[in-house]
Amino acid sequence: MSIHPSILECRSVGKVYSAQVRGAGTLGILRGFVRRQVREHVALANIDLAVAPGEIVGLIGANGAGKTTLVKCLTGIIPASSGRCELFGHDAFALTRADKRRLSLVMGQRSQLWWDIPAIDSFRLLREIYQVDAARFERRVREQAERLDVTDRLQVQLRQLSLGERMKMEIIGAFLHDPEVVFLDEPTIGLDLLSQETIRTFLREVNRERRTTVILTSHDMADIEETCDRLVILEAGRILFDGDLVGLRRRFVGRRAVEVHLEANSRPWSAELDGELERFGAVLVREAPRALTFEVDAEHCQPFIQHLFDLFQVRDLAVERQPLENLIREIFRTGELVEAS
Amino acid sequence: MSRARALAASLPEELHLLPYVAAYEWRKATAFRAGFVLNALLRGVPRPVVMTLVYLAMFRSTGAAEIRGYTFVDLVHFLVWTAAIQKCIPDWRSLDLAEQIFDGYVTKYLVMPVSYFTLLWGRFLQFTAVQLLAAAAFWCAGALVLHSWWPQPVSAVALAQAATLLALGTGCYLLTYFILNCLAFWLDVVWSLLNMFMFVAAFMSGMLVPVALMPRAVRGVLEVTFPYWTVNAPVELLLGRLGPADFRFGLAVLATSFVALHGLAFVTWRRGLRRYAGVGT
Amino acid sequence: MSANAFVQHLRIAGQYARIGVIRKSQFRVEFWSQVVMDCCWYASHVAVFEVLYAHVDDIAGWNREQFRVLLGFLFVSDAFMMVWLGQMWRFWRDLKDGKLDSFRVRPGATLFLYGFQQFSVEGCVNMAVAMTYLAYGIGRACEHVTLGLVLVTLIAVAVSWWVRTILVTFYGLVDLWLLGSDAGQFVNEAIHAVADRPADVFGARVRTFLLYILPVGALTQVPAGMVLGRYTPLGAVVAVGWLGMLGVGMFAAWNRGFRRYESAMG
Ligand SMILES: Nc1ncnc2c1ncn2[C@@H]1O[C@H](COP(=O)(O)OP(=O)(O)O)[C@@H](O)[C@H]1O
Ligand SMILES: [Mg+2]
Repeated sequence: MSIHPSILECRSVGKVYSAQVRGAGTLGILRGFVRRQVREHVALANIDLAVAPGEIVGLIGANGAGKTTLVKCLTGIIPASSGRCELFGHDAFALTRADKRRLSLVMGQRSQLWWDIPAIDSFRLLREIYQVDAARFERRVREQAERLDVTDRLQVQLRQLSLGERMKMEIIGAFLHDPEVVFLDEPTIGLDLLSQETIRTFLREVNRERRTTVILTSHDMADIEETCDRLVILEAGRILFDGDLVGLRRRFVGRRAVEVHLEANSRPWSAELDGELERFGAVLVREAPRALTFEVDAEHCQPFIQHLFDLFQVRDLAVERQPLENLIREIFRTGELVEAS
Repeated sequence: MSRARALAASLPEELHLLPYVAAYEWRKATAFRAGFVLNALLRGVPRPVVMTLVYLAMFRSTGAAEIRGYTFVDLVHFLVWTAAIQKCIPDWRSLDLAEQIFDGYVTKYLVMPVSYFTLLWGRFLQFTAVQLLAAAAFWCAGALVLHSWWPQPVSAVALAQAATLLALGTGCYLLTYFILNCLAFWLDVVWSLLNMFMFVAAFMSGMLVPVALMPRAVRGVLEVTFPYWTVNAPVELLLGRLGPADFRFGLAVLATSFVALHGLAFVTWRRGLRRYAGVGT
Repeated sequence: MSANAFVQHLRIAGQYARIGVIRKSQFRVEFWSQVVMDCCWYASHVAVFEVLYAHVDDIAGWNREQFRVLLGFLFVSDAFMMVWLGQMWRFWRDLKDGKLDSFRVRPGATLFLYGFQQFSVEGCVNMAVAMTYLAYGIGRACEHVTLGLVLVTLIAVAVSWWVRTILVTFYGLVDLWLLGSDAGQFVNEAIHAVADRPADVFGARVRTFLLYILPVGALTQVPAGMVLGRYTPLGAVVAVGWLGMLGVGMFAAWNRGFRRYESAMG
C-alpha cells in the first residue's frame, strides 16, 4: 500500500462543531438571549488516513459517528478544524476547478439532481459543468443506465421515480465525467435489496475497470462486506479500526446471528443442550420464553440450522450478519485497535 | 347548532392554552439572536429615514411651507408614527402555513387536541406583544435623542383610539394572510399572492406615502378598506387630524372586516382540510 | 477567470435557462401570478412617485421625466433578479439546511452555480415590462434618440444588472456572517429603501458611500446618470471600471466568507 502515492490523505484531522445550548424554561430562554452559551461538539478527532489510487474503502460507523463529516472534510465542503486533509496532493478545502473535475460525491440523504425535471436533463447540465464532450456523454449515459437497469426511466421526472431509481440516477450523474475518486455517503440507505445489490455490483465493476477510487460510507455491514477491500471503522469521531477486510472477516465478520422462534409445543431451552452448541462453536446470546438467538461462525451456520430443526419445533427462523455493534464490541474486547498503523 | 355549543364549551380550555402557545412562539422567534434583533427592532426603519430626506428635498425645491396642509415636520412625524405602527403589523413570512400544507405537515393539526385557530392567535399575541415592545422602545429611543422633534400623541384619548384601531387592523392583516395561506390547499401560487397583497396594502395603508397627498377620489375609496384604518388613520388620529366621528366610522369598518374575514378564514380552513383529508396525502 | 471558464459558465447558464423553461411548461397559474405580482410592485412604485410629483417638480435635482428613467433601472435590475437570481431569496435557509454541499464539489464558481440555478421564465415577461417602462422613460426624458443613446442605455442596463449581482452577493455575505439568522430580510429592506430613491437626496459623503462603496444607490443612479448625460464619458468609464472591480472584490470576499459554512447534519 505504501509504494503508491496516496490520492487522499488525512493527517490528524479534527472537526469541532459549535452548537448553542439553550436553558429550559422561560428563564433559561431569557438568559440564553442575553448571553448565548456555545457548546463544542467534537465530530472528528485525530483522524489519520491514507488511500491509494484504485482502492475501494468502506467507512463504517453508527449514526453520528462522523462519517458524513469526514466525507465533507475530504471533499472540501467544510474545512477541518485542525490537521490537514489532502486530496490529489492539495488542501481539500482549497481545491482548484481542475481538481474538482476529478472527484465526485453522492449523498444518500440528499438529492443532487433537480427534483422536477427528468434525470437526463440534469445530466445535460452536469455535462456542461464538467465539460464532458458530447459523444462520450451519450455513450456513458447509455452504458451506465443499462448497467443499472434504468434506461427507460431517464425521461421521467425525478420526483416520479422510486427511491432506488433515483439513487441510481444520482450514481449515473456522479460517474459521468469519469472521476478518479468517488465518495458515496450512505448510497444504499432505505433501498430494497435488489437495488442495493445492483449498486454494489456497479461500484465493484467501475472500480475494477477504471481503477476508480471509491470511498463508501454506510452503517450497514453488508454494503461494506460485499463491496470493499478495506474497512475503516469510525466510532465517536475516532478511527477504531483500519485494515484489510479479508483478515477481519475471517476473525469477526464471518459470524452470523441466528434467531429462532419456537412453536408452543416445542421443548424449551435447557442447560443440557449446551453440549449441542459446542459442536458447532455456537453460543446462545439471548433467551426469551419462546425465542432464542445464537451466534455461530458462517461456515457452521448451515449444519447448525439443520440441527436446530432436529432439536426444536421451529416456527420461524432468521439469519443475520453480525450487527455492527457486536463487531465493534468484539474489536474492543480483543484489543485490536487500528491494525494498519 | 351543536357544533357551536361544542365550540363554546371548548373555549375556556383553548384560552388557557393561549399563553403556552405564545411562549412557544417566543422561543422559536428568539432562536436566532442577530436576526431577531435586526428584524424586530430595525424592521421598517430604513424607509422612513430615506423618505425624510426625500421630503426635505421636496420642500427645498418648492420653497413652499406646506404640501396639502402638511409641513415638513408634520410629514416627518407621519413617518415616525408609520414606522412605529408598521412594526406591529405581522409579517406574512411569520406564518408558514402554506409551506406546511405543501409539505404535508398539516395532518398534525388534524390530530391535535387544540384548534388551529388557538395556535394562530397564540402566535399573534406573541408577535403583537414583542412588536409593541419594539415599537415602544423605538419611540422612547427617538424621544430621548430628538426630544422636541419627536412626535407626541395629541392626547391620551387619541392614543387609545389609535391603539384600538391598530389592534383590530392587525388582526385583519393576520386573517388575510391566513386565508391566502389556506389557498395552498388548492393552488401553488400562495407566495406571490401574499406578496401581491403586501404591495397593494402597503400603498393603500398610507405606509408608502400619506393618503392625504393622494388625489381626493383615491382617499374616498381607501376609507372603506381595513389597511387604511390600520395605518394611515391611527397616524392621523395621533397627529390630531381625525376626530371621534372618524374613529367611530373606522371602528365600524374594521369590526365588519374582522368578522367577515374571520368567517371566511374559518370556511376556507374547513374546506381546505376536508379537501386535504379527502385526497389522502 | 480564463476564457475557457467564462464560456463554461455561459454554457451552464444556458442549461439553467433550458431547465427553467422545461420546468415552466408544467405549471401555469403560477406563471401569471408571479408576473402580476411584480407588476403590482412596479405599480406601487410608480404610484408613489406620481403622487409626490403631483406636488413638486423636482426632487434632489431629478424632475419627473428623469425620475422615470431612475425607476426604469430599478425595475430592470429587479427583473434581472427575478430571471436569474431567484434562488438567492432562499439563500439563508439553504445555508441553514446545508443545501450548498453539492455546489461546493462542482468545478465551477460556487456562487454562480448556486445563485443562478433558478432561471425564471416569468421573470422574462417582467423584464419585458420593465424594459418597456425604461424605454418609455428614456423616450420622455431625452429629446433625440440616437444610436449612441441606445448603446449607452444597453451598457447602463448591464451596469444595473452587475450592481444587482454585487448587492445580492453582499446580501449572501451578510447571511454567511450572521449564519443561521434571517438578517438578510432586514438588509434587503434597507437596500430597497435606498435604491428606490436617488442617492442625491443624501449628503455628499453618504451619497459617495452609497454609489461607490456599498453600491446600493448605484443600482439606479449610476445607470440613469449615464443615460441622462450626468457623467462625462471619462467619468462614466471610471465609475463603471470601479464598480467592476468592486464586484470582483465582493465575490472574493464571498468565497472567503464561505469558510463559515458549516453544512448541516447529514
Ligand atoms: N452542522 C453541524 N452542526 C453541529 N453538529 C453537527 C453538524 N453536523 C454533524 N454534527 C454532529 O457531528 C456528529 C457526526 O455527524 P455525522 O458526520 O453526520 O455522522 P454520521 O454521518 O456518521 O451519521 C454528530 O454527533 C452530529 O450531531
Ligand atoms: Mg451520515
